[in-house]
Amino acid sequence: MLVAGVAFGATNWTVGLNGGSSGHGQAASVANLTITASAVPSPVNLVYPGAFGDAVVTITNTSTAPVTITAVNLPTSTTYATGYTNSTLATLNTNCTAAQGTVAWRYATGVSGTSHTLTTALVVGSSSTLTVTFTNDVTMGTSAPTGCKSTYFAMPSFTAITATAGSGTPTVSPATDAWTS
Amino acid sequence: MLLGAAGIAVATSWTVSLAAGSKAQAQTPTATPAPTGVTATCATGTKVTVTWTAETGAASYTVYDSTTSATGPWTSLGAGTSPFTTASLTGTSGGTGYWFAVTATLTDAAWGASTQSTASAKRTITTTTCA
Repeated sequence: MLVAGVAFGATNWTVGLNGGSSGHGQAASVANLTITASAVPSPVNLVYPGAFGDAVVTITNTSTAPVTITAVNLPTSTTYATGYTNSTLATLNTNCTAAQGTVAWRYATGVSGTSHTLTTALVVGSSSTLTVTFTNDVTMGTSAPTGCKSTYFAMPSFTAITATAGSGTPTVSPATDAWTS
Repeated sequence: MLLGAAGIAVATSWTVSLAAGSKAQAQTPTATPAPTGVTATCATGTKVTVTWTAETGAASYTVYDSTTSATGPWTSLGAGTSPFTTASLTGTSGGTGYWFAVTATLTDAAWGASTQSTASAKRTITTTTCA
């Protein structure tokens, strides 16, 4: 694409053109990402009282540009996950309420919205999905009842993410990643 | 941000936000996880030292032996930490085979002890030696 003789890289999009410019531009469609719970693949590290476990998500990018995610923002450390008896997260486990299970995001603090940098930036391709296992980023308190065994947890929502759309080679799905502080 | 002709600003990236209601999925096991990495090493005489990988969240461990097979039946040798050196084991002139396994109990005792770990390799005990 040329604008008045200046060459642009094929991955650049021009956001609007002033009158008098020659050439043409391509408007990008950029939308928010959606992140949903995923039962596949099963987490390698299951969480149990006093230990850490994995969380699995599917990230959907409906934009016409790749999106690069570099950090996530977490709710507070006392925002607990709801427990279910099945991987479809359809039936509540009444023997393991959120307050009983005390399952939360690792490294979350008493302040909501803290930012945590991913070990590796994730790139979700344009109009694509990416399944990611966040390794050992889930914690469980040391006094969860036995009713919390064999339970599937819907982790509390991220409060925000740090992400940009533009260019990048999509991360191969399924991927593993983590934040370590 | 690049500049095009006549100083036109050209965006190369956009900040992307998260739609409301993101979810992730975690899972608990059916029981307290059993310890891993159990090994048995001959010490002096007919003593054996059993070691295993420390388990996050565990408050105590119990060590077992079996003279029948790697799957039991098991006899408790007592509670302890890794490394755990057994008392002198009883062997025969022809040698008695011993397998060793470990269970873990979490700080959260409500979850109960784990099942026995995968057993160590067999150690053969005679009346005076271990191999």
